[in-house]
Amino acid sequence: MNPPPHQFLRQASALVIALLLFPLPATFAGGPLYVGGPGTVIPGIPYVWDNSQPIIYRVDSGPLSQKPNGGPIVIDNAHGLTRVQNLFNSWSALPTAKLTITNAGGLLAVGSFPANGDVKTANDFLTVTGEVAGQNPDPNSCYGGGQNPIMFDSDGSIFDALGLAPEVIGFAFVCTDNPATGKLRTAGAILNGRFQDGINDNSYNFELTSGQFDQAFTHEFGHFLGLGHSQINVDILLKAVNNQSFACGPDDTAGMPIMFPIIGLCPAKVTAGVPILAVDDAAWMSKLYPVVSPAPAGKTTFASAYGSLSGTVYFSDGVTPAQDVNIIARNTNNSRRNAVSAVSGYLFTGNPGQTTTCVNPAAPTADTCSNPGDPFGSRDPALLGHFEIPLPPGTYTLSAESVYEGFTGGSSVGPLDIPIPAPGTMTSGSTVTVTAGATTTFNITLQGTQPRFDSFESAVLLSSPVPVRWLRREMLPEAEERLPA
Amino acid sequence: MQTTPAQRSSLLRIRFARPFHYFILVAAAFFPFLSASAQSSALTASRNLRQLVTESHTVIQGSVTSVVVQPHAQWHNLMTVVVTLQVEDALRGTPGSTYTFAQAVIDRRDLQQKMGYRAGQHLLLILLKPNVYGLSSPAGMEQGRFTISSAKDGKSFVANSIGNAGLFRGLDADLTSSGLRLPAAAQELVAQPKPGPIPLDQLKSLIRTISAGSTVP
Repeated sequence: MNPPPHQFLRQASALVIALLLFPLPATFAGGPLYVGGPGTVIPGIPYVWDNSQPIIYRVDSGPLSQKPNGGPIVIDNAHGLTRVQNLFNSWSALPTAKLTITNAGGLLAVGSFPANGDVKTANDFLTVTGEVAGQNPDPNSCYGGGQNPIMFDSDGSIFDALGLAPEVIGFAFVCTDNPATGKLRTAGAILNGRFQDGINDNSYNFELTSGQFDQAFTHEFGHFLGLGHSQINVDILLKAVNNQSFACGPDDTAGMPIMFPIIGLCPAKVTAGVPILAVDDAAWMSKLYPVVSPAPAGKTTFASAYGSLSGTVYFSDGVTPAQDVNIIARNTNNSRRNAVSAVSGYLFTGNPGQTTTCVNPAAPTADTCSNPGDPFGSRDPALLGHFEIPLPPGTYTLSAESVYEGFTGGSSVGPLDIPIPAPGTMTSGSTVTVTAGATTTFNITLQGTQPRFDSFESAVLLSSPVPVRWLRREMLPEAEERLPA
Repeated sequence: MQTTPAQRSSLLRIRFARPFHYFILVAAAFFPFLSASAQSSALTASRNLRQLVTESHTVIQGSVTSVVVQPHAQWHNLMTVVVTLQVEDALRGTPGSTYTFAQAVIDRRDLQQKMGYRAGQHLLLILLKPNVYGLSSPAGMEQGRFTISSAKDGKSFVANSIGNAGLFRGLDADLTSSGLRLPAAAQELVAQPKPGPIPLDQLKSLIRTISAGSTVP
């Protein structure tokens, strides 16, 4: 087989060019899903819900799953409601996360869609969801900021009508935020009941076990709550992709985040008998929604249960920050299970954009610029290589790795939509101790990275009395000899 | 978005009478999973190349000439991304010299990013038949959408958004059961899959073989 094709893409210079010329969407930042960008009230701060109030969702009144062509109901509404509540509870039950997620009942009336109605058609779905462009959304719709709908497409017909591939199990989507507070305001989700109808024809109608289905929507509800993807124990995926046999022990399964972009490499967590949320999931959701003192009954303050590891990843020069390096802290006690990660630069934008190629650079607009930049993520250079990992107290071994090159677009981990290989390696064996309520600082200087500048960029300006010109640094001594005194 | 193991029955699980229970997943090429897809944080079930091609109506290689966001003609509260390609090669179906399809947009961010489509992109798309509402999408969503890139030596490579993971899972057996034979050029590709981009010509050879053995829906 030919060598990997695009090693040239692995050059930072190519990445820079790509970022300058193309509007690369940065979808997920390892940890938070969305981070505030310029022009918001929360630049560099993750979008979260206002957890001073319960997060209220409303649910479709129809069945969760039904046989095709109006056949028998497989999972009725009552059981569907229970499933949804249990999946949300996986998150809200975290002792260190202040999250109250409540079912307020049936869907609100939206236009022609009746109150407490059953979302049966694509038109129903689109009415309840509201216009994505947000021009004139009905105030009761999700995009109108009126409700957080959880919808059941009991036989998959809505997905079909929308032209979506039959492989789509479902999705969650954030509808609106409050620009004054930077808090998430409404979100929704739709579950494809065809994956639970007991039929697997292996061509159009696929099936998942209940454990797989629930795991999938626990992941989706993590997105609903503002959580992005995480990468831990990626070696299992790499072995799978490389056609190697691999073992998935309980600790591997338990340690792989529910927010890993691919599920199913290991047995469903419920099947393996491990908690559905990994240490990474719990740490990050708790960081986004920390319980503060005084902790309510049954809860524990985040500060008493977690410390923080914070730092910056640098190139070998120790000066230039490196973005998109996945940093994993593994507890020395059961490192496969007890691990938490963060991607360097996760609060920084994946695409700062540029105005140089705008029709009028002095007055850039989205319509007249080829790359106006991603609206999300900070532009503060201090955050470019920054990482922060919430950790239970203990001693941890740190490692740095690339985000898997296949995690692009909607699968992305970290700020870049197309990941780049880590520019260098990290000296192994570094350990740090984390204590509750305290931040431990640990900067990482990668080994073996390329120079910050190449020889052509490393230049000095020679000025008067000779004409102004740029010379390569290595030419300088000779040039200086020729300069008039 | 996330995908989950689609068919656990194909996994051979062996339990060791040891402190740990190890689930030995034989031949990772057979592992089924669920992965995140670009559509609105959607979760999709993993399909191999034969399954993707078989369910498709059109497979084309081409360059994107325009990407337009516009409301759906019938559902005005549905936005679509309308993508037009200059067709360089048609591997399935009869698309003509240009091909246009409309894909639904549910998520606001997908709208801002036009689903990641951009004029000038060089793509290989395995596309579903447009439904009665004129809507379509790549088979398996991101699994059927390949970006073509060129190496220094001029050779072209392709990869989908999950690095082609699962693309060749069980493919050899699938083809055999369908009475098809792997093209010689693609045998190593299927037998020893590697993560990341694969040669375009080998993928196209495989697609043509699969397409020849199945009816266009």
